[in-house]
Amino acid sequence: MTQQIGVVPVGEVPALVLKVIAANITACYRCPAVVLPKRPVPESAFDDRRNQYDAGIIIEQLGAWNFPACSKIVGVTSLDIFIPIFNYAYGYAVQGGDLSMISLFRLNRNADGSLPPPSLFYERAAKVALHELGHLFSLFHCHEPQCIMHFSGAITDLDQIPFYLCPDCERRLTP
Amino acid sequence: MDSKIRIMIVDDEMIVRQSLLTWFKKYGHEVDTAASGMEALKKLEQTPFQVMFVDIKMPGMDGLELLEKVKQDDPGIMVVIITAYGSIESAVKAMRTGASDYLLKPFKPDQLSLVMERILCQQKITQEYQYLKGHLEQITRFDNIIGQSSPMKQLYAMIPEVAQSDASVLITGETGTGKGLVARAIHAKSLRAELPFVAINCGALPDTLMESELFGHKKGAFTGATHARKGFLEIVSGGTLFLDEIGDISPKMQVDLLRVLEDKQVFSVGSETPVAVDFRLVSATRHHLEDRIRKEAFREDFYYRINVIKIRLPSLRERKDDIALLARHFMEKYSHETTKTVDRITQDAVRLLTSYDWPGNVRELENAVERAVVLSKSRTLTAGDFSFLQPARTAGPRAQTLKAVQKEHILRVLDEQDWHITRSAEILGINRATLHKIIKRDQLKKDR
Repeated sequence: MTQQIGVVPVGEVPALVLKVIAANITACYRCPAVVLPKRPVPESAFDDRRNQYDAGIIIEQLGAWNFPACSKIVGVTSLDIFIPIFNYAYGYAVQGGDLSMISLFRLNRNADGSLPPPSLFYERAAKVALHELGHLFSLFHCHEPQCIMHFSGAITDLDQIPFYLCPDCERRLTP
Repeated sequence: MDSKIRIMIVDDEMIVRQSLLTWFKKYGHEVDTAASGMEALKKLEQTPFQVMFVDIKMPGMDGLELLEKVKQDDPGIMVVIITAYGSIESAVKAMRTGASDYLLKPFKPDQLSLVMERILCQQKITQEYQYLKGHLEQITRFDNIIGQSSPMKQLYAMIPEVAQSDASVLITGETGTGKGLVARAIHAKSLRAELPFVAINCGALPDTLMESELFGHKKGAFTGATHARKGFLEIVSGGTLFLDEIGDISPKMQVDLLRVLEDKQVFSVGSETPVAVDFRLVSATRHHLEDRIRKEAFREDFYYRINVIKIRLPSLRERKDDIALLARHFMEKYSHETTKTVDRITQDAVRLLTSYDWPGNVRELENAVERAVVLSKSRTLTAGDFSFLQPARTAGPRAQTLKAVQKEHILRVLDEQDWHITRSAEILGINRATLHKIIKRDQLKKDR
């Protein structure tokens, strides 16, 4: 069966960024990616103490929705997501699983608080999606700074990494 | 990833355990979780972990108690404390108890990443340290002192015991028996092992130089003292001072050293201000110091000060069983050093070496094997490769001219005294000039 990756907007997400993400997935992982219809944000994901959305709960909900034509899913939201214990997250994926989640919320601000040009914002969104998808393909965080699987803790780190896998991760990638 | 480690996460909140587990799995680490301190301790009994992330606030055994127990059982395990309660006090207490780091939750992903980087770096340094320490122990332990004979086994048993005490040690034995190696082994096994080991050959230094070397001097203390210089007694600072050939030091120096040993302070040459010193003294001599005391060449009070523990090293003649082992060891050593493949020694060669009486002891044997390896034209050392030992040195009566006997005797005394002309002349009962003349006339040469 041909693998197909589904890009699912969760809540309101600009259409163009979804297309950019899908195109980059297709280019990087050499498997087709399609943008699927929008899904609502699960209310239970909102944590009023943190004023953020729990990425784990959104992922659970993604699992409950059925996407028969896709082997792996990348959920995309404009909301600020968190993983318990961490202050925030750009993305979340269970290692070797089928479901991942990315947030655009913190990608539209530079480290100094200024707004990035739209092209940079799209680049960042695509990088986070490619990184989380890498985890779904069982890739670990990589020491090589010139690899999409290199961990980015801050927006400046994210801007440093490329759109592609290093040769080692490329070899480890299981189709 | 090239640095996978075993991590245990201990937290009563399932969501925290799950978050961290998911996170660390993304790095390829092996991760396990425990919901309580007791569960963590049970798991630790079964499997070793390198790093633990422990929540402070847990019902039952709290994180600090768990940290204490874990550190008691395995001080090498690294524990990172996680606390949501932000109290610096508990974090400080944890660090004092031995935690490697702490995190206040919730934390930024890159904070955790930094902590992990630090831990991996620390672990790498620890591993390197352990390796180097082991390597150092290996080369200083007893590996340099070769032998399986009964006197050597007694020596091996004695060294660690002696090392643990801080008492002065006097090592006696003929020249070439390895007194310096034993001194180093005592230092390496002692509590001062990580502090300096300073060795001085008293026989090689004139009195004035010896004074300056040991005690140091002030700038301008004597002609040529253009800078102040610390003496070895100060430089050794907490380590071991090894005075080789202590029997050769002058009576004045004996008095000076006796004062240092009693007062634990030194006055550098030209200075009136004392400096406190701390060292363990190990001395060595090839002389019978008791004879020298009788001849009033050595102070009795100084002798008893340096001779709290006495170790007598056997001559090679007393441990002939070790000769084959030593010969093979030196053959390998010089084969490696000269990059020549010489890896066999015939039974005849071993018999020859065992029958020789080795007045220069292990050092002489080492020199003989080195010479044989260097000159050997095959990979096997034969009796022929050691023929140079026979004409000059083999014990036993032979038909020789008086001149040949005289030459052999002088050569033997010179070797025994390590070619120290004054001492050799004294033993031979001739003056130094005469000895020099004989050496020149008979073309006597120091055996390498």
